[in-house]
Amino acid sequence: MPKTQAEIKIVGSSTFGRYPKISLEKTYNMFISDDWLVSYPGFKKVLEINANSEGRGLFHSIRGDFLIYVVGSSVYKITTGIGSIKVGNLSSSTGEVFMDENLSSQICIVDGIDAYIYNWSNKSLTKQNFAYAPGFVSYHNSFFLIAQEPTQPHPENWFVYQFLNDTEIVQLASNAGGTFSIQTKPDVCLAVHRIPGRGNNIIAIGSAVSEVYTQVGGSENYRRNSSFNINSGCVSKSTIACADTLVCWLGQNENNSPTIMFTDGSNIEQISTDGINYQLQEIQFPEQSTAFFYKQDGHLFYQLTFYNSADNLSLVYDFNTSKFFHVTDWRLNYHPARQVVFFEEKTYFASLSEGSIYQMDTNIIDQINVVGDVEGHNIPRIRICNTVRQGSTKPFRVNEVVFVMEQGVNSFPQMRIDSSNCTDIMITEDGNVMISEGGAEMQGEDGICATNINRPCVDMSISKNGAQTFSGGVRRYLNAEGHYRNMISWHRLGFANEFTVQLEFSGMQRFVINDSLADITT
Amino acid sequence: MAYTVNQLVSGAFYASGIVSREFETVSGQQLFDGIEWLNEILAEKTIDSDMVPYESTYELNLVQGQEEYYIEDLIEIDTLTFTIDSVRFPVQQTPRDQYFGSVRVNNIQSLPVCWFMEREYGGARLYIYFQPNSSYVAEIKGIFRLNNVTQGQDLSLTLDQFYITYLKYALACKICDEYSMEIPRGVLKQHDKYYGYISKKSRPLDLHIRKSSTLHKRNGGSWAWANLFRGYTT
Repeated sequence: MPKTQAEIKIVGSSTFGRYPKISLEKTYNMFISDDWLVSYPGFKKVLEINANSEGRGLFHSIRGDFLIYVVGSSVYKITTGIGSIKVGNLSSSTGEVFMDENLSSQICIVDGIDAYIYNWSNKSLTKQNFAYAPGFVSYHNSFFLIAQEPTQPHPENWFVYQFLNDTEIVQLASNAGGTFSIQTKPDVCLAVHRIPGRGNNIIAIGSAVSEVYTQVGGSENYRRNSSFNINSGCVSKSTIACADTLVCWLGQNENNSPTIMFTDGSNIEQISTDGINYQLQEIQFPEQSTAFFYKQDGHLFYQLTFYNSADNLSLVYDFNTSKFFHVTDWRLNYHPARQVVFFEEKTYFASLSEGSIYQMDTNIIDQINVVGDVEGHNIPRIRICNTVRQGSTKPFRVNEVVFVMEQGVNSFPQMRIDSSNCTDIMITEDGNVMISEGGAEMQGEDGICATNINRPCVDMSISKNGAQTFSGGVRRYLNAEGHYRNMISWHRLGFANEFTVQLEFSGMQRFVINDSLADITT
Repeated sequence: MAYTVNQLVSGAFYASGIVSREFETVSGQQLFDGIEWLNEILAEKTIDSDMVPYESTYELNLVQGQEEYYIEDLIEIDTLTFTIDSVRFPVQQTPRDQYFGSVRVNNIQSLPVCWFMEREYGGARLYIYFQPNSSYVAEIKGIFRLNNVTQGQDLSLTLDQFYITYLKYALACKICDEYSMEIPRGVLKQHDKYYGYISKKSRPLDLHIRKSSTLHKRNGGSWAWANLFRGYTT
């Protein structure tokens, strides 16, 4: 009966299967960097406008060097140092808004009911008088490309607008290339967006099909690519996001259930796995979603969130490593980010759940919900590893699980005790605290002093039934500041023929973790 | 301090590596199995009497005219005596061939002079000759079977800690066997250490020497010999 070693994939992503028995591998709030598992960016509040309203959109004006932030029905201009100036109001107060800017200092804001032009040159916000409810806007080659809400008459149409005057835009005439429609299938047009890195090419995305157009100029203006289309539309226009050379969205068509897809304008690819496809299929309110691309530490992330409480799910896909991860807030609910911008060398997002702007960064390790605070809520970072099985299905005994992780990089001195957490402190008849000759507070026999709850630690729980149920967590505290010894281990883990490890990393420090080997006797 | 059967079984499961001390608790079925296997280990000591750590004293009521006595749980007799008026009389052990194969008068009732013991199911049968001519209380020094244990029983009331520790490691070894797993080296080492201590030291080694001479001529019993003790009849 030899001793051998089994690989515990701590450095891994959310590759869970259709059923837990297949795989329950999930990673929460961590991602892979150079084959190490590291913390996903934390975030801190930098501006609070209205805690009771919904952050609806955030847009970075490159030319104006400011942000436009829509919270509730209010529109704010966010300037250098995250100062805010209210510039006007929208008629609506909920739901995601879409924004883009042209070359004439005009930012078009579309809220699903009306379109607005904010001219940052003359600081005016003007409601446009459209004959239909606009649903999506994107800028391309001096035009605003606007799709209407699918409830409108002729929802297959999308329109081309151009600058009219400082406060207005105007639709090009139909005979001048101002109106187009989805044609490949009888479908509605949900969004039109330029394809990054593809010059004159744009993509019109329907609910079951997507078409690529090329701007050819003249009275034709845009010409549909007659040899290529994508047999997938979009579940929700809020899931459409663009970056680098990609357009990504939650796709579906009349035959197929939702999958995450992306295109570079010439190829289409599905990136979601079986388990994620199943989870997407189970989404009850796909329209209550949001998605965006952003780059952090060189990694291109596509983050997708379903924020209805019935769904409550955020996934992030790392295009660098081609892997999915789960992301959450500190309560393990959906990640609150909606529409990310890079402004003044920092990454900011509008919060879905409140009217605030947050800064996110891998140097921020927790969720700070109060402007100016340096410490906030611990973001749970969880890894459910692969299930270890033998090819023969025979049981084995797990003698030890050990792995290497960075330690001693926190700000916790050795066994810091918060005296306010001590119980049964002895007092005099007058209620004064009794102290010893040395000045120390005296404690009764039953008193305890709890260690600081934020002390970094790792809780491991195990499953021996194919990840159906897990044991309670067994904690290992991490070393205090300056103690860099890096091994962490659990011994004598029992007998099983299926063995799954779940790790939860807690506390105010970054986490950098390597793979593990389990010492087993077969 | 109380040490229950449940603690012993749990400790054995943890030591065997079958159940993780930190992550799991021993299940009801495992506890049931463990107690059953523990009782098997205790039962093994009936035929491995060196591993019974304690001698016992047993009072046997001899009945006038009765030769055979069944004594439950008896494994081995070291001494058998009876007392009359503060005088202790020994009864000598006789080999089986002599007790059952030699000439004797069966109907004599007198002071017992020799005994022979045979193991039987659940205990042993003691034969005494002469048949007691009166009721005596005999005292047997010997070893008896270890009793079965039950769930929740406090072992510290009947066993010393060293023996409980031995049983834990013995049960851990048995659990590994039952689960077809290799016995952890440390567990085996501890088991062997305690086994050695108990088998060699808990009871005095039997160093009796009995010479058998091929030149010895043994006289057979006679009627006169059989009636030798009549003068001591009370």
